[in-house]
Amino acid sequence: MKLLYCGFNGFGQVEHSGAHECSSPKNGVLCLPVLIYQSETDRVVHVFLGWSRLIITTTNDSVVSGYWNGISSFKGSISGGIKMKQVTCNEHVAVCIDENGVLQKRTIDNPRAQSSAWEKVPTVTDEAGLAKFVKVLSNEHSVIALDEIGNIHLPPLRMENMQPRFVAIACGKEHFMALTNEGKVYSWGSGSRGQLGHGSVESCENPQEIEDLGGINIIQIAAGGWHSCALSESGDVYVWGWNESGQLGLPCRNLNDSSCKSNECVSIQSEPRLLDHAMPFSVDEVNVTSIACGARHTAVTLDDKSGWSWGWNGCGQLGTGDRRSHDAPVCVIQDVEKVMCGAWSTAWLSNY
Amino acid sequence: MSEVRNLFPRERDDLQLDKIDDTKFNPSIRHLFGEITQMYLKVRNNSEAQFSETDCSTLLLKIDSALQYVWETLHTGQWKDVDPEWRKLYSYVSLFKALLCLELDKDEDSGLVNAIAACDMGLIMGEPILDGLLSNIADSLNEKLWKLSETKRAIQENQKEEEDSNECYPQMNKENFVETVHVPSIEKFLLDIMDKKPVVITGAMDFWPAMSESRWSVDYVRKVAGYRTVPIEIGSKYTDDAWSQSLTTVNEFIDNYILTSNATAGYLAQYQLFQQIPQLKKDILVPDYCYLGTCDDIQVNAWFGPRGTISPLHYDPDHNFLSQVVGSKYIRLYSEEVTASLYPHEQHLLFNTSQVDVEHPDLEKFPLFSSAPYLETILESGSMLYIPPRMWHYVRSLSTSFSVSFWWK
Repeated sequence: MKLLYCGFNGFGQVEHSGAHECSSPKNGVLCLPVLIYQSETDRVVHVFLGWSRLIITTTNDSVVSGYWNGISSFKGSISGGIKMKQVTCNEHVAVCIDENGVLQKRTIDNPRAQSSAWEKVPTVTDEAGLAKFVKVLSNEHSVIALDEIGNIHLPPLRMENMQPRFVAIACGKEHFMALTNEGKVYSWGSGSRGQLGHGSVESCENPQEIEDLGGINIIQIAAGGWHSCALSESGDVYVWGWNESGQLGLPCRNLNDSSCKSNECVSIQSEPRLLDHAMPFSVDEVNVTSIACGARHTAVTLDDKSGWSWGWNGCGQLGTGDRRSHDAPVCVIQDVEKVMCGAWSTAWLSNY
Repeated sequence: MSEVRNLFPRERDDLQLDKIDDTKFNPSIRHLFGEITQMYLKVRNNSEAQFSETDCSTLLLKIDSALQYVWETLHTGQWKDVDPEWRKLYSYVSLFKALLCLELDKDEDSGLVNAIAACDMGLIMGEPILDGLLSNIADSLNEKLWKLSETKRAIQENQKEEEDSNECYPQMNKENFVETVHVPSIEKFLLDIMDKKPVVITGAMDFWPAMSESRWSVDYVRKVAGYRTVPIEIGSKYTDDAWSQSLTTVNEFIDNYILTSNATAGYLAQYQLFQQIPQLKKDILVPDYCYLGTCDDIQVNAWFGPRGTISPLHYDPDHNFLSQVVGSKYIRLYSEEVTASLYPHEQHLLFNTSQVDVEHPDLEKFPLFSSAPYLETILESGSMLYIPPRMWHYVRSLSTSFSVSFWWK
């Protein structure tokens, strides 16, 4: 199993001897994907990509690298005796799901709590007992978690009156999305850049189904800073939200070398739009297998094991070898199966 | 160059960092800002050697990362709700970037250009710091570049301003003309005009430097602000789908949108240019009538653009003096009572904007519009139009135009 990384490295989250001139670790960016983890024996269970740190959880341990408790270029285990399935953190707290499906948290970057230990997060339980958690995500202001029954929690609260059973969640800077077992997508939070996909820039306090995706069986969702992405069963990619740096793969006026005519430029796309056949990978024979969104970029993998990315590239997060942003997909890597995005980074997973 | 360099604070104490409350920041950005500040002070104090090119590019990357991070924070949630400390942080990092730009390109114009751009981004996105230091630095650099470009300019001087053409003039009806008053007294304005009716006031701008000794023109704007970065609107009106905002230098704006006819219109509209460029503020005077208001906060905005810019029919909550400095504008006014005939947009962000294209109305869709009574005028250079609060107005420029609006309550 191999893990490759490109993008922001301003806190020494990745140790790497600069092979490419643009990828000097001293300069704080990696413009080409570099190998950051490889193991024959330990399996990568989960990767958390933050702005200033990353946490790789394997069957063996959870290791943070980057900025941690006041220190740059830190590297060390944070498991504290817990076997983790998943971990997320923002600037103030780390939250994980342990092997029993229980949510645990620890405060970080609090000088008075240097040795802070993991503790259980209070959550709503049913009479039947505690449902196991299967997914946890965070942004600067919230932690959101999904349990195995399909309930969404904003610990310590559980969202009530939700008829559908959710199977996936996604978390943007100010908006959330959830996918039901029937392939429907719900979104809520701020809609200021059209990121909710409801056809307006209004906000929405409670989860509301994205009607334009009705009838399309969605199997994966991803939320970026202010944009969103969904993958259908038939391998089609839908995008909506802010196209400020071309993160939707649609013509963007802000990019100097964009070839778009002004009347085609998209700034805000407030309802889901199919990445159409002008896209290099939109041919019938290849399908998209995974999608991910960073703060202002998007990446996908295809079933021919190629990896593609587009949007803001100021930190080399597209993996193109330079720092030029693109408003159309660029093929940047081969032999990868899955993609994940941090705010300003991209990680590619390969199973051999 | 050393005189510009000397404008940059030299010691940590000179930076007055104690005035920013860094507990508002996330720990990692606080850490990064600390690193950047330390490196800035090193660059500032070791004018030669010691600081290698690699160090400079490392610092530039750290600075750009910090600016991008703060930019994202400023764009998260409502602009007005973001803690002002973040904007101060943006200004400080922009200041550091300006010095670094000068340092990285010591002998080139591009260093000066980049340094001005850094200051302007700090002024546009940030909060004022250190007594308008960013403005002062940008102004000095602009002046320097203006002098450096003198030779180049002499060659281009034969570029002529557009000839006036009448074909874009609207059909007007004398009965609808807005009343004109020559410098009314404060009492007359208060008793007969304020809150009651729109009037064109003549003679009230005669003492503006912009109308006399510092006569505004395209060349004058180039001289005072040519290398400065400003936000412009692209697309002929803000209700168009393809409308967007963009940052550009004043020179590029003049070259691409004012002197050449561009397929897409560009407009420096509703922008607080005078806060960013105090040099221009000296040329205008706040009309005395504004002080009849109950609030000291008078919003002064610049409107600079080519012929054909359109502000769709809309209203504002405050009193307005639209003062025409360069060129002329056609203006149509509708009173609040006829709002129903103007078909305001239904979305809550555009509730104060009419759906009707005033000069080419779709009367099948908006039948009541044709019978709504209105007033109209061509506002000429040297005149100002008083627009009472909530009065609907439509504005189209008939030539290259520079207006200043004063909003007050």
